[in-house]
Amino acid sequence: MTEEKHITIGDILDCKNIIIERKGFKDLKSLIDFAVSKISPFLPERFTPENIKERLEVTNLDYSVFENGLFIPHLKLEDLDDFKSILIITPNPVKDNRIKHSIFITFMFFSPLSSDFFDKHLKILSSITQSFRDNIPKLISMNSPSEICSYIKSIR
Amino acid sequence: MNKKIKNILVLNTAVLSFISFWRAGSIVLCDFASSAYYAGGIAAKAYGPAFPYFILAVMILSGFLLMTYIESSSIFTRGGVYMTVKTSMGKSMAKFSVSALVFDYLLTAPISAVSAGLYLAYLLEIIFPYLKIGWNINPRGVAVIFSLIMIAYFWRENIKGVKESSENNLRIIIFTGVVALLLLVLSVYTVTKIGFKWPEFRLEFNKESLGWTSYFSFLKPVGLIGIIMAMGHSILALSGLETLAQVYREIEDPKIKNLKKAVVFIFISALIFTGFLTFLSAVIIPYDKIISSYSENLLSGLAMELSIPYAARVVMKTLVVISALLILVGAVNTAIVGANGILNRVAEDGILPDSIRKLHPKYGTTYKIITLIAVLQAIIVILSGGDVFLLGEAYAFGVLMSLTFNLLSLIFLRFKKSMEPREWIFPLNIKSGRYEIPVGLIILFLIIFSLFLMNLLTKKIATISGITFSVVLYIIFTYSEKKQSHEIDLHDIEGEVDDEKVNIATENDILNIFKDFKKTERILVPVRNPNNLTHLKSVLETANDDNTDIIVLYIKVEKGYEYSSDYENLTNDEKDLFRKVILLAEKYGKTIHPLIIFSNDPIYIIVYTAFYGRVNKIVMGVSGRMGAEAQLEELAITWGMIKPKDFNGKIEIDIIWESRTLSYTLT
Repeated sequence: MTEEKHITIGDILDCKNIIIERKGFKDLKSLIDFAVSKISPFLPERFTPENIKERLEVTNLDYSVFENGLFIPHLKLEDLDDFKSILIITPNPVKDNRIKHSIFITFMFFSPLSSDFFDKHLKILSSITQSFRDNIPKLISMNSPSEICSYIKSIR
Repeated sequence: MNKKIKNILVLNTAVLSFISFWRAGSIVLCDFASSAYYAGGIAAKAYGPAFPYFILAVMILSGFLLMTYIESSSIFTRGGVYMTVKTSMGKSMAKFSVSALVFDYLLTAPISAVSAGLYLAYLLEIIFPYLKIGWNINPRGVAVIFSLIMIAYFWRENIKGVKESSENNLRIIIFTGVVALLLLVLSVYTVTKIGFKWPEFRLEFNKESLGWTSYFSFLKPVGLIGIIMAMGHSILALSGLETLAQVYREIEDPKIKNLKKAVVFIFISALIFTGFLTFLSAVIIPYDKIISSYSENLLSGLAMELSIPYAARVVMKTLVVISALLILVGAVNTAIVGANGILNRVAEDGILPDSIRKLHPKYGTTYKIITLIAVLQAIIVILSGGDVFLLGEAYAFGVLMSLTFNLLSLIFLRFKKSMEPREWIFPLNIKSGRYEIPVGLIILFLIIFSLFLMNLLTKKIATISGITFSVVLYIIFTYSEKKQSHEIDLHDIEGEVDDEKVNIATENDILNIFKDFKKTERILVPVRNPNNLTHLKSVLETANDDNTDIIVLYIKVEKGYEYSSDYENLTNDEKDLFRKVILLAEKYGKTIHPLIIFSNDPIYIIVYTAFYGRVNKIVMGVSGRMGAEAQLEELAITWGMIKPKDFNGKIEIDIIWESRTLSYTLT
């Protein structure tokens, strides 16, 4: 695999896909349902929300929730030509019996299922955890998606 | 310490550091070359003036026998006669070979110590008058007392658990080599002064040395029969060859190449030291004088017969005696260590009562077994009365039995394991289909086997004691196997990684572990499954030991607050994992640094260790649970958690399974 330039989450996240959901969600399933409903219009037609949710269930979702409140549900999809992502901020954290930690930030993303994109896929994963490593309290205190977007785009 | 790390154990064991061919050769020579001090005298007394020719012939034979160990080592990293016999001929025959080994070890200490004592006694005989000490020296009495002191000393050292050092072996060989060279040069000088005369090629057996053959008229000691008899009486000069199989696992990479160099080094040294010096002794010292004055300390006799001033001769004799003490006394310790190792394994398998394995309350050694060995060796010394000829006779039995078993096994293995790759095979083979018919090995086996058979007839005491001992031990093994109603696996009898041989150090943090690493490259190899070490093997095959530190990491997942983070509480599977890791390292002769970290987050620990240890590369096996791509994803995610924003290095990752590799670089 060849080395690529440094990738940030700002490179794959459209500001229109940043959502602050202050009501929160009663459980993990509700969060997933919501996130999938928001992102599925950007995916190829053959991927229905149910289809996506089924696929996500097969992955070990509990391994994607981190101590600092970050949740990274992700999949590799065939027929996808580029990365698709959505960021959901839940100042009222999501709790569930299935997971060890509460969720404040959900970064859901989908990568093309192709060996050409795998390297970049891994770099994005690193970039996500690094970007949200220490600043979740700051993010959940922000008032608008545009404020969050500016902040994220500034992360290098 | 990072809160995700509950404890860190660093395994340090002598097994994990590998030695040069010089050191390996020195270890073997400390056993093999020690026979130079007594083999010549014993042979001279057994069959007359022709002894130097046969000692030389046996030394040349040793070269071929050393070569057989190259072939067996290319099959078994941890070889030795037991492993070779068991694989080729099954467990029953292997049990006999174990008895031969134990017999060998039990006699090595007495013959070495008695011989050293005799050399010392004859030196004191000369020195005491100068010191105005009017004691009457009884050489054999001195030899017995000296031997008992040495056995007692090494009994104590082994109880305390003091380890042998290859550094000491090298020093002893260097010193002995200098003395031998001096003796050789002065001997050649003496020959130029007195004139060279070939020693008489005359075989003159006595009643003892003929043994039972005197009852068979067709076994007259002439011609070929006489030659075989004489060779049989000289064969104890070959004692110590088996050490080469034991030391192979410690030889550094490239192993077979270094083993060959060690073999050449050993052969040339032994040929000069034992072969040529014994020959020169026979050239310089009249045969009758050898028998009357020097049969128990031949090389001292050579020193005293040199054409140099008397004072210089005494100095030379002193040097010879010092070298004899160093090398022979070292062999005493090797014998106790070797016998302790074997009897430990035997006791672990339930053959001896469990109480005998009780550990010393202070030193943690198997003191009852060590004491049993020392007592048996002391009894043998006392029964011998300091008679090195009697001991030599018995000693040859164990030597020949081991050699016979080893050669026969190698022949069998050519057919049984014909497809097993061998880096080297003994020469003189005829290809027939997929087999290499080992003509060379067969010829060598026939020579050794004929010597073995002849020795059974010529050495009464050796035959009776050796066979009795072997049969008794075999019966004990078989009876215990039946009693326990499961098979005793003596598989690891010639050495295994166990708790005793692994020293554990606890570290407070990762940085402390790496502070002593000086090499430019570092590879981290996480391991978990003892049946999935393909990735470790790949690293060991390709890494350059000179510039690369290989860190083998096992993460023991401990969840919750209660944990048992010490080596004692590793499961048998986990200890088996480390045993296999160390076996692999030995096979490739590459140094590794095994590490156990107790944690509940393995992926985090791998990345954390790699980063803080400034590792260049992580090489992993594939996880059965998640697959290679998912593994890389977890590593990438964790990397983001750990790496500082200003990090400008890189860590390569290879996930290896079967013949595939998936690579990625953390930047």
